[in-house]
Amino acid sequence: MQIYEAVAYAMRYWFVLVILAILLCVIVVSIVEYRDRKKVMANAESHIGYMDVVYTAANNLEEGDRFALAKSNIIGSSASCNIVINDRDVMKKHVKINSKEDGVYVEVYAPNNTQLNGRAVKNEEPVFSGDILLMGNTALMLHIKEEEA
Amino acid sequence: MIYVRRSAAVVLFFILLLVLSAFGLLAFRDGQFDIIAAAFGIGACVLFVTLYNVAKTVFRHIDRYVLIICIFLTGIGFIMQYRLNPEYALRQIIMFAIGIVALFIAIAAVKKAGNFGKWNYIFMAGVLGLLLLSLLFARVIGGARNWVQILGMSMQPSEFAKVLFIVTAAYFFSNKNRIASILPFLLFSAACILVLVLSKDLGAAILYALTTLVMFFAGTGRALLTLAGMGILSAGAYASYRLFPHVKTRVDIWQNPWVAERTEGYQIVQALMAIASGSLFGMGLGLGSPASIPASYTDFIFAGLCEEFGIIAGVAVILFYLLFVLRGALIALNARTLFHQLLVFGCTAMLCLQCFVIIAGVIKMIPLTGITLPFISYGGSSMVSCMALVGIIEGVAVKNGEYDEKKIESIGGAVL
Repeated sequence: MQIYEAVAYAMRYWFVLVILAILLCVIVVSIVEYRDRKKVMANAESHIGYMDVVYTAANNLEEGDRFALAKSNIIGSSASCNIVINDRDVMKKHVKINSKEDGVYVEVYAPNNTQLNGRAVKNEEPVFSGDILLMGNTALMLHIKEEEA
Repeated sequence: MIYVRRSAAVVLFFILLLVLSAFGLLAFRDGQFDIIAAAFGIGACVLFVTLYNVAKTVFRHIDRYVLIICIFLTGIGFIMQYRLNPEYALRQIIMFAIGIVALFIAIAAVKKAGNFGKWNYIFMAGVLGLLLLSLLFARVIGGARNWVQILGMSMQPSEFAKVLFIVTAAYFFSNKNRIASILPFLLFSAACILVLVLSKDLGAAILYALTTLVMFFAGTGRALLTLAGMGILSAGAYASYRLFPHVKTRVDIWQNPWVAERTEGYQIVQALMAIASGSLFGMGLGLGSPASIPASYTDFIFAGLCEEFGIIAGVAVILFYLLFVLRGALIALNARTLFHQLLVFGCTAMLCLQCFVIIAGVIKMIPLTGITLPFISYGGSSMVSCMALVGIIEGVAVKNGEYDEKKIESIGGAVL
């Protein structure tokens, strides 16, 4: 019995230690998770949709690559663009995808090398989910949030 | 963008470590190896791991840390109960298993049903029926008439009624924006409180009254009416102090338990001495004498906990309840409809108030009213109803998670 008493007396520190470790873990994870979620949800709020690469010959992209669309995006071969396509047939500043009051529009700076759903685009046109935008040798499928369309 | 939900596996591992080491120690309490204690510890761990894994697999968006906190508190409860009375611990683990079923039913119900619509009127009738049942048929234990014998099992109907009570409260405070249309519900809750006071179940009466009040304030935002409600409550409390002798005794003991140290004040005096003798690190598991406190395994379990694990562990347990409230509040803030916000808020508020009323009662901060400490106290009805409340909170968390996931997917992300 004396052995039990000695062990139980010593183990009280162990119990307190484990309880405090659990408490610390829960507090830390709660804070981290709160920040994570806030960041992700703010991102989800500030973006209008995304684009998937359907087909590409550019050397910096692969099929299946995905880009989130901000409120305003410039796509081109220049490194300063939001989305960069390294392709000889893509201009430095090729198109701009823009969110406006009444929907999302694509503004084309290089009409010769741009197609929307297989036909030529003049300077500005509305785009919708499922549309395919072809720039040079790269095809992108657009996915736009319901509330933006 | 990928949003990874934080796993709680590390915390679960620590909880298993705590439970297994405590039961390992308890197994050698009588000088020889007690196989039942070891088996109980392993069984509890298996139950915890299964619950955590099944819950997060079936409902992907479940709030894992709310569940983990409730598992931790239950684990502490098992240790204390086994230490006080192995037989009660065995019964408690069975009730915990039933509670898990209640948890899953509650999650599924909240996920499926909108705001329960017309069902709320049936719920209201159910609440009143359950409360009247205990008023008319119950046996008196500890001065309160709240135990009903059904099929050889004692139950506390007021525990089950509180789950339905919160659902109806959330429905009325969210659906009806004019005060006049909330009136029937206020009358209904007044009737509930009256029945509880008549059955001398003061703890539950306080719980129902305060929950109604905070939910009213959260739902309508009317400060003046809430203050008026507090006034009415205080008047009611004062009237019951004047009218019922046992309330008066409680208050007198609270003011000075030492004059009746051997009679009415015995329980509180023993609890205070237990907490004091525990000091910071406790006396060591199995070395204290918490059994000398009446009702040490139910209402006064917090005193026993402080005696054997120390005040640091006691404060940590209070912090766990606070974290539970915090996470509940976050779920409520993220909920998309007022009904779900109020639902989570009500459940969180009720569990929090319940902890406050009993812990503050045990440490002689407020007059003692006997209710259980959620998850830790022995009590089948309490365990099942607390698990159902957690289930409601988790159900709304699952709903929030689904909305969030849809939102993240709309910009090409995913939730893992």
